[in-house]
Amino acid sequence: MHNTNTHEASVVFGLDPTWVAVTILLVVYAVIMAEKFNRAVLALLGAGMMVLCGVITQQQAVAGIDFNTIGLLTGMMVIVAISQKTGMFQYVAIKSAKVVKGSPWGILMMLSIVTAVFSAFLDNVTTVLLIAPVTLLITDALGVRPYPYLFAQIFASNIGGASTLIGDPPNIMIGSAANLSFMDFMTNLAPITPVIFLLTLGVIWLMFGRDLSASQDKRELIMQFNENEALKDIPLLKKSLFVLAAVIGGFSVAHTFHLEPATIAMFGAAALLLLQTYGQPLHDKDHAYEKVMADVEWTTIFFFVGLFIIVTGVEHTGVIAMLGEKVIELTNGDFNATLGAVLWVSAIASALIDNIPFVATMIPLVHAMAPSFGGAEAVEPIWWALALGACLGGNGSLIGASANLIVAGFAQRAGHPIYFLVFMKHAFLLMIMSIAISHIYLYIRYLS
Amino acid sequence: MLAEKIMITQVVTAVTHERVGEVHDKMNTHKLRMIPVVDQSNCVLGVLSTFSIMQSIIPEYLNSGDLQQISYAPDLDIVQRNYISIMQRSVQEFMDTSPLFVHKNDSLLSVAAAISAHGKHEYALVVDHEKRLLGIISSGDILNRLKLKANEV
Repeated sequence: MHNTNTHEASVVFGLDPTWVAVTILLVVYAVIMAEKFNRAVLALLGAGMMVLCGVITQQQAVAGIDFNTIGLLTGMMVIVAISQKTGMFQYVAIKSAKVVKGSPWGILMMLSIVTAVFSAFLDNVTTVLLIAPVTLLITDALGVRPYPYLFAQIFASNIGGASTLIGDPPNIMIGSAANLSFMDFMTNLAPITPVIFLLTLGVIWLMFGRDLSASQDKRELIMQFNENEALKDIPLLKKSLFVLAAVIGGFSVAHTFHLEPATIAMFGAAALLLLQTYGQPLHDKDHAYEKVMADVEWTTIFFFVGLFIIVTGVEHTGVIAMLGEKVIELTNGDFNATLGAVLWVSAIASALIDNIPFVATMIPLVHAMAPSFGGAEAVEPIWWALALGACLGGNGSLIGASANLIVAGFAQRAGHPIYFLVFMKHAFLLMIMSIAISHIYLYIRYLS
Repeated sequence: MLAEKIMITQVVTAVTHERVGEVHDKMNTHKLRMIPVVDQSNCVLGVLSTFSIMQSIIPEYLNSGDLQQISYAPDLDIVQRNYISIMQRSVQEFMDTSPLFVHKNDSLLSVAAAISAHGKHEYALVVDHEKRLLGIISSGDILNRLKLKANEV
């Protein structure tokens, strides 16, 4: 096999590589938005076209894959796949409903807090996959309509996810691309997300909370739930909690030891796989490993792989650098205006399209703008604007984030469909409020 | 042995516009666990079974396996409420439209294997080429026929 590292790609039919790359990107994004085909398959087809059409070489394509993002996502997926078997998520959800003595508004608040906290440290989709069915069970027991609860959970998952490096895929991508640590996210985003969350809950109370009521009988029914029964495997629960705590602790010190979060997550995943099956016969161990691996969302992982290659192709043609210059031209090189533009454009775009491909495209754009503003360190507030815009923007519509669609699916199957326009009527202004708060925060903290 | 020799030909049926409650009564009267739903020309449109009624009254988040077990939950009146609600609705909404069909010339082995593989019901509907109902065979019918044969031997 010969080494093609030194070879430049040659575009087929002598076409302009910029047009070929941009066409591939736009066609893939358009078909992803149409939701007629699997997004991972589309991204991989687009990535293949980038190489086959000669926009980039195979080596450039592989180098473009951000293995920190891939490793962190995969590691956390393995840890969650094992932890969820213990029933700890159901336990916490039921316990929180009982803490407020079955009060309908209290339950809405508690389940939202639980969702926000879990979403900050696990991925949003997994969190709502585990919490939404329990929510439906609890609302059935209370005899109240589930919509306000599920609506609040969507907001809680996206706001919680925005708080940390590992909470939402856009943050993972931004953290890796901009070399921002877990603690950087904690110190820059975690101070504002609880404020946004509390204000959001306040507006939800004005919209729905005042009308929520349940009879004393129904509230007593909630108190009859036995949360201890939800815990299925106490030894595994202890191991999972130990590894989760160690991994989160590891994230917070990783930067000091020059370790990537992906290394911590993958090591934690391997350790939990080992602990899970410790003392079991070899055959059972193999079976358990295969089951966990099957639970990893490979579709998402391959989607990321394809996306990174597509964006690398477009970046390689210089079109993203050119777009970066255009943005600076439009804002007259004003940092405040650029930051505001990134925040608001990210929010609106993320409400309408998948925020993962959007952020994948924005990352090289922000990199391209850095020299004009005095280097990588100077643009750090723009990364926070991108993170807040992309994560919180997902609340703007039912298709804004994967977690929204998962919750909508549960509601549909439970006979309480969430309609696109009804959700948007309630959600869009609330999302705008959260972005306005973010803008004020960014202005006070970094610009004034 | 062929299906036509084993099948029961006096089959109690339902029609699509009947209410689930009426058909459930009919099933109780005739001690049936499944009833074919037919049109005016006796063509099979589906089946209603006690299992499919029970599945319909359980919340979807339990049927789908989203909550693996709910031994921590007390008895909720949701099942009772759903039962009362669906008893008033038409059979068409709740019937299983993909029952197991066999033909009268199929062998006993073929019918038994088909019932076993189908898994959803313990019954096979014997139909002609236009799906007109000719009879019904249950796994019990097959076992009883085998027992009879064994006793003869």
